[in-house]
Amino acid sequence: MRQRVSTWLAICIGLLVLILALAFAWMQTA
Amino acid sequence: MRRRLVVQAVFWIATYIALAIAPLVLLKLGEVPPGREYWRELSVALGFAGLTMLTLQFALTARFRSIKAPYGADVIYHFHRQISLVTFGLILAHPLLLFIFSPATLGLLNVLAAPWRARLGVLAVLLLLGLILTSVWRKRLAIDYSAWRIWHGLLATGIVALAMGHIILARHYLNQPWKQAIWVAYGLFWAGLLVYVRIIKPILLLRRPFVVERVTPERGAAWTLVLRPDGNPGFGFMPGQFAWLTAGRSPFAEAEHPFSFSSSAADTGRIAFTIKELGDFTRTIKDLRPGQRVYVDGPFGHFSVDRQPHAAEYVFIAGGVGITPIMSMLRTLADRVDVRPLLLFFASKDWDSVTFREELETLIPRLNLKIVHVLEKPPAQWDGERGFLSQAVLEKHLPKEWDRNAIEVFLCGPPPMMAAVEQALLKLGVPLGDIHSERFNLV
Repeated sequence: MRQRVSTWLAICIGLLVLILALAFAWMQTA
Repeated sequence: MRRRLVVQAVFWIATYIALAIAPLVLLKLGEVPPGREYWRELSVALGFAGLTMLTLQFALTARFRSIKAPYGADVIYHFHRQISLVTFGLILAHPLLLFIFSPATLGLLNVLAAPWRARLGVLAVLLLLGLILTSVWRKRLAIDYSAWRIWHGLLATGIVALAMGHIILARHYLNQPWKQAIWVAYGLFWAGLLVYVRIIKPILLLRRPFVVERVTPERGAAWTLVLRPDGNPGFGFMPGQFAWLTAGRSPFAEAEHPFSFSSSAADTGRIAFTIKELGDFTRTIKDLRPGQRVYVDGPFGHFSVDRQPHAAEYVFIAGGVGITPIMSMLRTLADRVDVRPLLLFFASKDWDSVTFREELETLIPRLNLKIVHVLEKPPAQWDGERGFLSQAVLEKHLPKEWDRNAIEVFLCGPPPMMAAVEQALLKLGVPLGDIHSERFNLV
């Protein structure tokens, strides 16, 4: 269970970083 | 205690996220270069974030007690593996975006003609792919654990160094000396951490050797290794914790393996590990001779009754050699003349392979202990539980009313059994926070 939570945490962190990278690129080019 | 651990758990996750996104903030500071195409900026942002997350992998496995305390070492290693795949995805997106939106950049793959920044980048990604494949398929590729561990560290360091070279030579965002200096300092910090873990720490261990007192066979193809400190006071541990053992040579030998203590924490003169013959290294335990020097880095782990001292009752669930940390807890509780009710479920293959079978019987009168043996292949006239440790068996013996925080469950065994038992416990209404588990195959 704790392992599954950590798997989801890894996925969520990946998505968060992706969203922030998208925002960064948008700010750079806007 | 529990609240402090929750605060710690949230703190370290927040720190990880803050560090992972820090480079994106850093890139926006000072003199920011003019914006280019959206996909190119996105590609660069993913590259920087991926590189930072790559360096954070060093921190996850550097055995910092405070980071591991709230989660348990097994979960940290699991996260290390899972986040490495996420990180690889982010890093791979960096060149792929360039190739898709600007096919001319495919020419950078021609390492003979490409500039050095591209050569370093391509090599870093290829080595990273190799690093991940040799880790995910280590057992399938039959790579020896000790050799893998050396190469894993060397490859990881090399990849980060190549990537640092790549971003410095690319210059676009690191257009000012102070920005380059920050990244170089950042790279040196992680290199320093590696030097600490792999060189300074072993030197400290060298000054704190142990010697083998005896090696005795146990039921279930296991061996108990009893050690005593050699010319130093040794160290204390909490029952249920584990340590990294380097047998033979020097603590630089890199042949470290994590094992749970099986001895009582109340016995300060010596420590014991009980190790099942599972792999190459564990098969050599029986060859250790009394008087031989070994090095022990520990203690580590949160899997201990001492972390849940408030409990009114403890339930232990062991599968096979997973009894080891639980045996340490039972022996310690017996030495402390603890009178709280204890219930042990112990799943074994057959009656002859029940590790510590005789000693467990002697613990019953010393403790308020009930033992439920579950045998996969029971003898003919067996009237106990048989098959696997199922939800029905758990339900039959577990207390009917669960008082949150009053009963704490400690679970240790092979991964399939742990997954099944954890599901069964949750179905029976045991709160997740009351289930503590430790997987013994960390790596």
